[in-house]
Amino acid sequence: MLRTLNFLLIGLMLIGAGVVYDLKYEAERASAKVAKINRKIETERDAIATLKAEWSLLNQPKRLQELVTRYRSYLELDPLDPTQIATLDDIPFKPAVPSAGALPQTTPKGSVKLAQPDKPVDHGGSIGKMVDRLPAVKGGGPATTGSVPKPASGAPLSIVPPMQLVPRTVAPKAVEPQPKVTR
Amino acid sequence: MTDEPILTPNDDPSTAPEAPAAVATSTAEPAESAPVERQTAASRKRIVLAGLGFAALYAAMAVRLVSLGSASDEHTEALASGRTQVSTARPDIVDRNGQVMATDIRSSSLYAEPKRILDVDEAIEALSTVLPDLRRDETVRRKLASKSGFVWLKRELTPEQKRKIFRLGLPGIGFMEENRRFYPGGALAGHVIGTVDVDNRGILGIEKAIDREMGLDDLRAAGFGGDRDMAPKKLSLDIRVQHVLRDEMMDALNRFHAVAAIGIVLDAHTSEVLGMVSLPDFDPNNREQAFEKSHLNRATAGVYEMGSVFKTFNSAFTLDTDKVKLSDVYDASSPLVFGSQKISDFHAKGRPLNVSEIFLYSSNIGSARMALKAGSEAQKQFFERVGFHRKLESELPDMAAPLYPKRLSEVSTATQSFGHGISVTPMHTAVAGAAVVNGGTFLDPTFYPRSAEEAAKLAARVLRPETSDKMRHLFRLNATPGSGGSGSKADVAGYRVGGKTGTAEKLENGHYAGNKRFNSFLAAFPMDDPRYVVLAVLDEPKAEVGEGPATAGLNTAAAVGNIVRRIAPLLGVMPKYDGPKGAVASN
Repeated sequence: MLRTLNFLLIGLMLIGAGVVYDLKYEAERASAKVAKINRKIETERDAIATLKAEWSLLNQPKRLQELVTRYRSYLELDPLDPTQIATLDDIPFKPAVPSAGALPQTTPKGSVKLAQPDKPVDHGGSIGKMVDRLPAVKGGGPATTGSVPKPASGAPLSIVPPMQLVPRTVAPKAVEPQPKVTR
Repeated sequence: MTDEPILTPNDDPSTAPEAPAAVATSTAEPAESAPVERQTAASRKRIVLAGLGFAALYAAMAVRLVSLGSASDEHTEALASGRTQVSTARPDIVDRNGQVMATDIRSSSLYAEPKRILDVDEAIEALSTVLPDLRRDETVRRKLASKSGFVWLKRELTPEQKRKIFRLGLPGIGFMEENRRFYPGGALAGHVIGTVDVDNRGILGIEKAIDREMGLDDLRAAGFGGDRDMAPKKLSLDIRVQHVLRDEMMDALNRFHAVAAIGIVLDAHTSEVLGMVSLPDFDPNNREQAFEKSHLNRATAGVYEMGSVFKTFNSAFTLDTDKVKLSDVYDASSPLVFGSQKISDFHAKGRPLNVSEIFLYSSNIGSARMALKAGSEAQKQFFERVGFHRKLESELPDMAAPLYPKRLSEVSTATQSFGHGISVTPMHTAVAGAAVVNGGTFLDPTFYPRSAEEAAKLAARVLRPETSDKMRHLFRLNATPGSGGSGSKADVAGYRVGGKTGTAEKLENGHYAGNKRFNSFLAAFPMDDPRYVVLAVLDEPKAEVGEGPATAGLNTAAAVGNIVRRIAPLLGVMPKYDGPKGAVASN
């Protein structure tokens, strides 16, 4: 009886020892893994810090200015002039046109002329220049709103804002003279 | 423990019953027992002997264990002493838009533990294959031959050098990871950010302020400070504004061959510093430059007689007293005489001038008369309120105290009205200028972001809003082309710049030298609701060939104009035109 108990206890002890041994090694492996990952995180973090520093080094206004000066003529860059800044309010609303057919004859070039029909058009400004670059209205097609046709997809810098300002529903309804839209 | 070997056999259940039996037999039959008894005695002796032997063994082991446990490990001790010297991590410094202005980069430093080095010559020979300058360096040899536990050999190695030295596999040579401070902007904002020493301790500027605020010094003393996860410190500076300011001031400095140039851009309502430059400046990456005398931060640590820009403050406080009105006329036809001193005008008109004209033509006589009318006491009180009689409070450690006459007198009141006889820092001038145009509230400057609510809580009223309105009118008038004002060169179409010029003669050996000037221009924009205050200062500018004399209207006002033209779009100030829109600049 006592002997069996002893053997049983010895067996238990051996099993216990084995389990503890295994646990210990597993824990050691895990902690080694954690240490390794931590080291990796640290390395990554250092790398991120270095990259951030490099990014801000490349983004220094001084460096950018040098680049801009160097490629100024090639890229046709110029300092911004205050007169080039405008709000949506400064952009004339798309005009209402008396009749669809009348448009192409009066304004062969573009819509901005229509925008302020009673004022001389200032084409000196950059927006005016952009407008000039737009393809001219082709033919006297029945433009629904009597306005600029959408520039071809490859056209340079479209003047989308004025076009979006126009509610699509402002189709001229024949007889009624349209009020001039001013803001 | 020593008893164990002896006790164990006795405790053993198998031997214990035998011993009394043996005794029993010996007492029962004494005749037969003699040899047995001798035998038992001999075995006892042997047992005791063996026990003693084991006891000695165990005792030796115990002693050794204790000695091992209590002995300090030289290696770890040396490392620990080195670790306390390692540069600790610092928080990044970013501008108001989150652009990095200062950051920590990990670098390795080389150390040696001389006690563990086997052959000094061999070690030096091997190391000098990677670091050639070690070969000739006698101090290195002395360091390695010493018996100290830890010495630095070289700080801040490149990764390449580190790998090569690692490959050498020298005993007693090791690396320690350190943080090195890096300033991507270089000299961009040297005076604001300051710099750190080799142990990453802030020694100047905001870096020093950070150490003080966060108690990094205390942490370091306690042996902490390796924490990398510190939230970045956000400054009120705008890296773009700072660049434009530096670029334009550098340009003006070179163009007019000035000795020094100072530029400040402030938020008019919160007194946040968006840009501050003092030229010549230094690159914080190159810390040796930081303490050169010519690299003093003139914007906050230099005091100057600012000259005619003070007429801004003179007009402001006199108009605020109600004793002076814009339409009042003062006689400026003849110099004002105080005993031996005489106040005369630079642009003498020789006729009575009204308050607007006094401001526009920058009349010293008129200003002095206005100040005398308002009274010395009112002037003193106003100057106290806008901080001209104390150090400004800001995060920067180096703020200078103004110099001003302690006694009230008519002469000092008269001279202070046009900025002589009182020396303040350019920063004083800028923040007081902000108070004049922003509706009349004064705030100490800050280099950290400050919201409008915080500013409103801290602000102190120094002028009535109506006075501020009048001053804005004068400012704008002075910079409007065609008005005859001295600041017309600062005007930028659309941005409604307003400002006041100042051309002070520098005091040299007790006399005002006519050829050495201190020019400044205090401006604000947009004048209908000023959002930003710009101050440009040139120390001893020389006249350009073919241009007029070196007056502020020609150099500093022009510089301010250039600065505003470039920063206003960045700061989101909408151009607005009073009259018809001017001709568009052709591209």
